[in-house]
Amino acid sequence: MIKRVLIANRGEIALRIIRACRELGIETVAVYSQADAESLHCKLADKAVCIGPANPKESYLYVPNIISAAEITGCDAVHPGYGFLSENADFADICKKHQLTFIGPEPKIITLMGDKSEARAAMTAAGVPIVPGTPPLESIEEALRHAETVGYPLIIKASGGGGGKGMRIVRDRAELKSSFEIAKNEARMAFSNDEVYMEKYIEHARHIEFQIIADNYGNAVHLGERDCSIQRRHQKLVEESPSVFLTDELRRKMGDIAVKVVKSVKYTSAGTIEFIMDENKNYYFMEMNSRIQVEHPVTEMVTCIDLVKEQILVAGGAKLSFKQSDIKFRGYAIECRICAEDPANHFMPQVGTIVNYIPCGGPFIRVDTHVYSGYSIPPHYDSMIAKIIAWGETRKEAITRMKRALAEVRFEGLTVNIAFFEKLLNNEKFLKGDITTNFIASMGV
Amino acid sequence: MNVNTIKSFIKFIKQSRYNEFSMKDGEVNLKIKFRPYNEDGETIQGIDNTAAAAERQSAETAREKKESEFYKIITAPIVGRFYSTMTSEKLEPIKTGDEVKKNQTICMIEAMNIEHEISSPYSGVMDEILADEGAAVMFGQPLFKIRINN
Repeated sequence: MIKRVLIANRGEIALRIIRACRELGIETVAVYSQADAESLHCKLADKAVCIGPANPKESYLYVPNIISAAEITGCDAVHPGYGFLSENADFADICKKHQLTFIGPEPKIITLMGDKSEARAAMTAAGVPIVPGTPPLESIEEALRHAETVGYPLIIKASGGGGGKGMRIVRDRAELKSSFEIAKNEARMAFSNDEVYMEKYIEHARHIEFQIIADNYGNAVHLGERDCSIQRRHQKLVEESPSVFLTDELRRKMGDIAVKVVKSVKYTSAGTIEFIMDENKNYYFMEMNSRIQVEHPVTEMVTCIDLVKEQILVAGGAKLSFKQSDIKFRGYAIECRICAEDPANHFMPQVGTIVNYIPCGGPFIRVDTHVYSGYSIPPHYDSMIAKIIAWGETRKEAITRMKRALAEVRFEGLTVNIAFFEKLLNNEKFLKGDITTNFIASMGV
Repeated sequence: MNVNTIKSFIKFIKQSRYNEFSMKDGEVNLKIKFRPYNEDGETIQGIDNTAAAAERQSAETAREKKESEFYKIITAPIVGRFYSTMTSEKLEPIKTGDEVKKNQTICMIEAMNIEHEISSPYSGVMDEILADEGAAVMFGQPLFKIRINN
């Protein structure tokens, strides 16, 4: 059983973890950079330790100070949240070596899932459908040969990549010839690994992901899907559950595959299996995220399961408190990521002070945020300042509630992207559920 | 009663040795109450003491820096435990009044079972040791106050 957790993160996810711990009777230690001394997570945790200057490389990503902070405060576990060190296998390994329980999967699973071409090989071995593609490619000649077999359009991806970096879509031979070296160079620059491979590029795709959780005793369940097709430059902006695109049968099938993936690699902790789905409802495994995700509240709202609490309990050696047959889905949930960005000006990141914060509320609205009146947004970190989640018996009711909440909330003094969501939530195609990953680009915002 | 009148009342009470004040003027009821000040400063429930202490210390640091250009504060460059000696015994504990040379090792911070030598960025005379032996120190926490040589 875990007694004291160090939270190696900041912002709303740090608060989310503090809340879960408090309900479990676990003490919390927050870490913060000098730019975050006034941040809410420092005030709400039982203890707070400054670990470095504003630059994340010297604070939230600086492993020695984080481990040291855990040691001087007597922690027995570390929760990495999302981003920062959450999918860093070395960090997970160092925690283990310092007798700190890493609240997440085993380091070797993080390594496996972090290498996209290795993960593809593991999934093929487990009989999971993957997007038709190629092994890692050495030369342009090899790439051209494989391209003929798989067929255009193709997308070049970096084996060690993520976050949309190093990806290039090629529609014919000529484009592949001109893009191959560029993609390799980009991969080398961004991930210090120039290995690339190609996948069939799926037009009009939907991004459907399944939430899973597994314990150390081979028990694994899925908690349904989230449709995260509303993205801007590969960054999710709106997530909803369930997806209007899935039938009950499809949901069961894909959920079974997600659980199969988890069991085949002996995954433990909470995680996400991402699928890409084409217009004809063919689905393919894309990747696995070995962390708690930003959009996890959507699943919590439709399943009434506290994912972070369950994740901590499982890390502490507890068995999952439910079986697949215990999971009941109710209604619809939708989440909007409120970011300090100006939608009228190419989503330019904004910094400044929230002079007055007026939260939204009322029935079936959840707000996860670290801001308060007088809080200044530091320029060094992510621009997301709040997540608003609305629940409804139907999708229509959830969307109507979301619109109501967005009309109430105020972040006075700071420009945020609410105007964009208001436009989106009134879009006919969106309301019909007719959404693909190209939706925002085609909206012309 | 206008705002300026209220402001002047607040100022008056602040300067007095009273924490509370109330009065009635026609239909207006005025009550001014200050939170009692204690040695530990104001600790709001829920705020961690180490964070509050660090804030207080850094506030003090700022004040001290202003007070005199001759004094410098040396802060912890890493998170760990503060010690005046090392297991290898190559470090003589620094005492108040000791002469300190630039780049001289002045303490050790133990982090992840490794002893890190911390050296002085200034030459001068040790004025005050601000951390306790074996205490947990965080990044940027003041460790020494040193009177620098010109």
